[in-house]
Amino acid sequence: MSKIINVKGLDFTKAIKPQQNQPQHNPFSVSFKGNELKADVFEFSAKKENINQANFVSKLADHCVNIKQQMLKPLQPAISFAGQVKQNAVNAKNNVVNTYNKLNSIQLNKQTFTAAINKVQEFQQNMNINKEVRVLMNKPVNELSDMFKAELQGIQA
Amino acid sequence: MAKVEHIIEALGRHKDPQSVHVLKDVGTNSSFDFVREQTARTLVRKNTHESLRTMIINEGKGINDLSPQVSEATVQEILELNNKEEVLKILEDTVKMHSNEEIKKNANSLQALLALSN
Repeated sequence: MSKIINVKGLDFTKAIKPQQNQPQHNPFSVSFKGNELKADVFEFSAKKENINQANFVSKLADHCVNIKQQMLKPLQPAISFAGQVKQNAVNAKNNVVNTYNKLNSIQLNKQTFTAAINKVQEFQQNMNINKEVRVLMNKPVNELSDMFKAELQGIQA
Repeated sequence: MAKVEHIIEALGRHKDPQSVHVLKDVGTNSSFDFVREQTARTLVRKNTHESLRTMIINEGKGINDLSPQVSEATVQEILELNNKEEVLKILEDTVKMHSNEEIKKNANSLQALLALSN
């Protein structure tokens, strides 16, 4: 590594050479062909294999996840539709249950039922009646009596 | 101006019991056969004691009307009634107790007709 020092326009270079290939004297070191063997030289090949295997497994897992996602992508609308159907079924079930509970809570006695039936029958009968008759039915009897008499006199005349 | 037919029908369907009296006083005393006929039909359809009594025991009205058209229409309407309980009761009383033989006879004939029709 070299450093360049500038002092008042004077340039001079002071090169500091790194101490390369200087063997570190380790009394417990082992040398091989003149070179000192460091501890990291002794790497187990099994460890590398394990790392490679782990990488492979993780890559395989990622790949599987990707494949699964790609396979599910076209099925997504169908899955969402199925979800909606399921939700609708649950809602329908809840509605039926609520209606049943409501019906159970209503107390129907014979009088109420008969009155309701009579109302319906009366409504049906009124639907079949002539419109003019329906109007006349709402008038008081005295008024109808006068109208009746007047109409008969009109026919006689 | 409302038609006579509509007024009679409205009185027939009216909930006020006074409507029977109007039909009895005005309709059954009319000089027109078609008015008496429709009034008779309406009173029978009312199926009340008062309306049926008028059609059975009164002279010159209902089944005792001098016009065969009116009397036949009244009999026909009585035969078509769904509930004949009240009319049978009135006919029985009329046959037993009425002072007018002609009315008794008509009531008896109608009673026999109803018995046959059932």
